[in-house]
Amino acid sequence: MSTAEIPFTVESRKDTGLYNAKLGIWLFLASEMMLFGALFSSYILLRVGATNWPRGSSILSVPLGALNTTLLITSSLTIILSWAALRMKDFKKYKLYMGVTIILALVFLGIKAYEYGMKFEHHLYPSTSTFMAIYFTLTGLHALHIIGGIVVNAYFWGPGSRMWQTDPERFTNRIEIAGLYWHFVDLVWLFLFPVLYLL
Amino acid sequence: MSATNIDTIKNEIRGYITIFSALLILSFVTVGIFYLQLPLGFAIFFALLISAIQAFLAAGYFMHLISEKMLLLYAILALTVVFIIFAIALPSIEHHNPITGTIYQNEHHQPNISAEHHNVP
Repeated sequence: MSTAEIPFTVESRKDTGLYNAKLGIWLFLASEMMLFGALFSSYILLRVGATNWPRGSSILSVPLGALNTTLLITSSLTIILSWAALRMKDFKKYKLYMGVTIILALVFLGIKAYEYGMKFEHHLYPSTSTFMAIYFTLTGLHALHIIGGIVVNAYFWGPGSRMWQTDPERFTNRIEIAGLYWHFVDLVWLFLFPVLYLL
Repeated sequence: MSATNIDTIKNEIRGYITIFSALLILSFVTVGIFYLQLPLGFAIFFALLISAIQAFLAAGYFMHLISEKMLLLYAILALTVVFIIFAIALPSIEHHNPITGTIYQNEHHQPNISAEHHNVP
């Protein structure tokens, strides 16, 4: 009995022009855009309907938010460099860049946890105000996406990287997919930061 | 791998570093504009404009949307954008209330909540 192989993991399908995983991740990202789009809509609705809305900077730390933005943008660069390294058959550089991506993401989470801790210390909870409720909802959901990305990236950095020995092209595609997800998470933050911290 | 391919990838890497620098500079510009303490309307306009440019750069170059020539992908994303525009426009639609007679006007139509209607002892 022959083993059935999953088709179109490397080469593109003629009808879609994409390999299957790439089409899959874009469909997933489309649903994610709708999720965050709906939440941004909720934010606007709450803000427009409120009689009093605080400037984010009066409650949140702008320097910490800016630092987190820098970390995420840098991680977007390192993950794409890890993919480029694989395309140049340089596995060591891939490990380096992917490792840096994971560390940057962990530092981002550490700063976020510190920010949350400071808020709780000052008795600012999601139930305190509508602003705090939407702040914790949006940044909490985003942090969950970061955690998901770290898990996937850590798998591809560690045990998942064994595929490089057996099927390098497919592994390279997997890193491209992981990168697409990671860029999306970065992109969401590029809107969250000004909307919550600066406006 | 041929030398031409490696050169192509190295060129791409230079492009990625340029986009990274642009994203970083735009982020600093956003923070800089915030410290100018502009009126809220201007601050919102500039912050969202810069975020939109950053989104275009990240999606276009890091996510390769500019170089993808796949109609299906664009169709999926176009549908998503329509949904997002509709979702974001909803508060405005609600505010202008295009369907007359559906809004609860608090000051004109105070419901009668006197004790006699509610059998309050």
